[in-house]
Amino acid sequence: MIRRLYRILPGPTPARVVQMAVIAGVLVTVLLFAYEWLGTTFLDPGGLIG
Amino acid sequence: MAVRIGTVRHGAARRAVTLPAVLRVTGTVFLAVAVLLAGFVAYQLWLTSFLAERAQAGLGRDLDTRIATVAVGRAPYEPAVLEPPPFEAAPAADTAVPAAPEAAVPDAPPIPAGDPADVAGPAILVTEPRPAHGEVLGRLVVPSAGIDWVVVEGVNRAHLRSGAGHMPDTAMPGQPGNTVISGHRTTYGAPFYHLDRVAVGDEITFQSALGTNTYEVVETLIVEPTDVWVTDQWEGSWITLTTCHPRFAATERLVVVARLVGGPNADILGAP
Repeated sequence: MIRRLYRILPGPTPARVVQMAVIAGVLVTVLLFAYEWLGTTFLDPGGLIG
Repeated sequence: MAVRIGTVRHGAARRAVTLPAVLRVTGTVFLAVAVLLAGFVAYQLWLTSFLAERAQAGLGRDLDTRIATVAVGRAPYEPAVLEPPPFEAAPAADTAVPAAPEAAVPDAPPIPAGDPADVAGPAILVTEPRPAHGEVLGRLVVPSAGIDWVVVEGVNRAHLRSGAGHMPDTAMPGQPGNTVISGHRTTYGAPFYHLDRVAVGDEITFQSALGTNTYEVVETLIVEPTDVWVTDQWEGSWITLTTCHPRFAATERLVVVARLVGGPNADILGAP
C-alpha cells in the first residue's frame, strides 16, 4: 500500500519523499491524538470527580 | 491449487476471489490492528510516563524557586459556615472555627508579623498565594503508597500530563476546607498507582511555600465518578486524593481523605 501510494504521488523523487514524510507525520499526529483521547477517556482520566 | 470462492468486478474485468487472497487480506488487517494496539499500549504505558517524568524534573526546580521566592502572608481567620465532615464529629468550637477557603485571601491587608498569640483579635492564618493554572503548587508525599510527586494547579488534561493536579475550586493546602488532588493511576507516571495501599492512620505530607503540612488518613473510599460530595469543603482542614479505580479503568474512583494534624495552621485548623 505504501509503494502504491508512493507511485501515485506527483513530482520527482525528492518531492515524493517529502510528500510521504508529510503524510506520515500527519498520520502519526492523528494517531497520537486518538491514543490520547482513548486513554484519558476510557483508561485513566486522572481520577477526576464530577 | 487455489480454491475459487467467488468473483469480484474490478473495472471491466472479473477477477476470481480465492481463499489465499481472503486470508492474505484478513491477515493484513489483523496485523495492522495488532500494530495499532501495540502502539496504544506503548504510548499509554511508556511514552506518557516518559513525558510526565521529564515534566516532574522541571517542576521540581520550579517548586524550589517558588518556595524560595514566594512570600507567605497572614490573614485573619474569619468564621464561616462549612459542612461538617462526614467521617467524624466536627472539631470542638474552641479548637477550630469554621471558615471558608476564601478567608485566606493572599492579598489581604498585611498584619504585622510576629507570634499569632501576641496579636489581639481573631486567630491569624498563614497563607500563600494561589499559583496560576498549570504552575507548580507543592510536593505531595505519601510514604505508604510510594508517592513523592510535584503537584500543579489545575486538573484538566494538560495539567494532569505531569501526573497530579490540585482542583482549583478547592482549598489551598493547610487552609480551611478540603484540598482535592487528582492524579493518574496507570498513565503519565502513574503517581497514584499504589494509592490502594494507604490505610487509616497513615501519614500524608504536602510541602509548599506555606511550609510542610502533615495529614493523617481518616477514610478510604470507592465512589462513583459523579460523587462530587467528596470535594465538598468541610470544617477544619482536609486533603482528599482521588484517582481511577480499578486500575486501567475509569468506572470508579479511589478516594483517600486525611485531616490536618501538623503545619503552620495546625493549631487553629488541626484535629482536636
